[in-house]
Amino acid sequence: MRFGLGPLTMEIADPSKKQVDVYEEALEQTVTAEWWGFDSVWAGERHFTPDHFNSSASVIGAALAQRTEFVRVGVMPVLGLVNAMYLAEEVACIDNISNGRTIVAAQVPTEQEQYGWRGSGTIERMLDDIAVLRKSWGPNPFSHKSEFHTIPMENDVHIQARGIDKISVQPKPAQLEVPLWVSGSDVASQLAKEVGVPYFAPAHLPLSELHDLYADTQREGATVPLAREVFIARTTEHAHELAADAIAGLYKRMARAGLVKEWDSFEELARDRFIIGDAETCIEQLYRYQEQLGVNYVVARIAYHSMHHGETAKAVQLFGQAVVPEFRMFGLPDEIRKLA
Amino acid sequence: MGELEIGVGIWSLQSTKAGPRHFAYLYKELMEDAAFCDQFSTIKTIWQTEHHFWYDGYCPSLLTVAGGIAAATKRIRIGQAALLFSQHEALRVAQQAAVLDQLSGGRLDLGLALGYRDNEFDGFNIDRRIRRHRFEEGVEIVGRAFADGPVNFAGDQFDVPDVEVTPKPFQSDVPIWVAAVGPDPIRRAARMGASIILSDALTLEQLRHQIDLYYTCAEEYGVDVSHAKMGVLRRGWVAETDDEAYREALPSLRFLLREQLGGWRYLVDEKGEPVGFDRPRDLDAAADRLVNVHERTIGRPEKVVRGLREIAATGCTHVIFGTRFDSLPRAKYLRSLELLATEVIPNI
Repeated sequence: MRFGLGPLTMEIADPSKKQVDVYEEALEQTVTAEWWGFDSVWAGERHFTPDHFNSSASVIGAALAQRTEFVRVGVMPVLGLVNAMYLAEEVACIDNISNGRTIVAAQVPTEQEQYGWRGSGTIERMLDDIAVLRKSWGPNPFSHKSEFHTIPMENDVHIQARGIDKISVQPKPAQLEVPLWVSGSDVASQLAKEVGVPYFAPAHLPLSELHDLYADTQREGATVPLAREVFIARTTEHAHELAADAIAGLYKRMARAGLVKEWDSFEELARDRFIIGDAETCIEQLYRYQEQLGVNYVVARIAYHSMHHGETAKAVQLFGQAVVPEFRMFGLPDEIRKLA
Repeated sequence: MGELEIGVGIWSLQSTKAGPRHFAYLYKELMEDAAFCDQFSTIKTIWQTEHHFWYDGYCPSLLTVAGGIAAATKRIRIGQAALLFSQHEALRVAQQAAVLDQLSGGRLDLGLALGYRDNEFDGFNIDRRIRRHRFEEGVEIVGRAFADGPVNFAGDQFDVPDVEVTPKPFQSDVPIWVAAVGPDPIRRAARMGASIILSDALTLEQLRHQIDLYYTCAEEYGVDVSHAKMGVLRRGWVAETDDEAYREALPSLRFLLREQLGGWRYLVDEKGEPVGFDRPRDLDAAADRLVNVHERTIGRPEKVVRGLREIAATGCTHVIFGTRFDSLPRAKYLRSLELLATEVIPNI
């Protein structure tokens, strides 16, 4: 199994903390994750939220690409808001800054009305955006005409007048094909099936809903990613002490932004959703997702912005040392596993 | 005469026909250059430049790439000379600019231009003829997005409902610069009270004239422009001796002006008509005229100091020292930047 850190949301989680410091801490946390053997670090994106969630996965993705050297850089842009060509160009730039380390996990929009978008169904729009992204990143000049995009513009005064009817997005990404995942609930799952790309369930969906969403989305040998709220400490009690309020706070802010439903108790919210505990508990929980859904890539949040930066760094280190090896070091002798 | 600020630029990340490079190499070099410049407190700003769909990969996404620059630096300001604003969605630009300003701790100088290449507008399915409208409405949207409260904008080009952009920028007043080529854009910039970036194709006399025009217009409109900066792009190069500097920089400058700007019909002849590859002789003449203009900021430190003082005397308050030429040896390039930072700027 592979592991990522995030998605980092960078919202105002603690009014006494400046947002500028949250951004800098988040960058440092990704460097810590790289050092302790994670495979990727992730920039989230949501628009117009009352708690100031990061609104540009591209800008932060470029920053993560610059600060890290080896890990993949996951960006989670919301699709369907603007012409997909902008995102195609931005991702190509990030992929060159990172020398081919980008993964794009496209999110289903909930913000289209604020963006003045009142067209037909989201899935058609996302399919079309994905088609434009793939053509843009491909080696050949292209044109694209659909309900949502006309590339290039049909006019008789400019390039078509000169006999050109194609566009080439420049630069091209550094890697041969930018890995594309889709994140969200049922729309994303359906999209994953249609496009044949990995479905990436967000952390707020409980295990009970994931069975249906992951059904028929997996191809033999392909990546099966999942995001989870994760926090780890030496003891399960201590992990709860440190993280329960921080995670509850995040969900309150997400509820305020309309991204999740309100809940009654933290226990109810946490059940089959959050992975909080000592290494043994985390490992046990992760095996459940692996066995029941076939998940082989977990993006673990760990970084909650109301928490003390140092506690986050400790948890990232502990996860890297005590949990990741269990899933990556096949044949790890028990005697070595038990060494503290 | 106010104090003259010096920024450096303009990073375009091109893999040209004469100097093809892997893009990952170019972007890595940019991050290293940014960290290098960040060490010198005398260099105020690092400037980027944008085009789309151009054959050599000219950088299309300035605010995204600026995210990388912000992560690579601690002090230096990050500016765009310029983001081709009419080709973008204004709301998205506002959001990205705000995130970048938070990420960088308030180091954004948001530089905006109309854009002019047909091909770029066509690629985004935007009618070039409405670029002025998109620009003006877009600036209004950015202003509202940065301020507290919802945007609420209903225009001809953009329609943004009752929605509040978050996060907000770090700076309470993000400096807006407008690339102003010609009298109309200068009038527009003056009406906005924005700082301006003037073209690299201007002689000293033209420069003085355009800056005067800006202040005259601002007075007519009754706009307070006491904080506005008068910027200009000048190509420049510093070496130990004048001869060395000419030998290193002039061939590259000539190439840049002919091949690159010629391809975009950016240069003009004596009558102000655009010159392209269809008129090779006029193009050469236009390029040579410009080489003469820029030659004043190419040389040993004392000479470049003199050249920059002449520019300051026109009323200009910020020079974007354009040292990015194609295919120059890296060691010489870094040496030029270092001489600029340590021997030129402190002595202006």
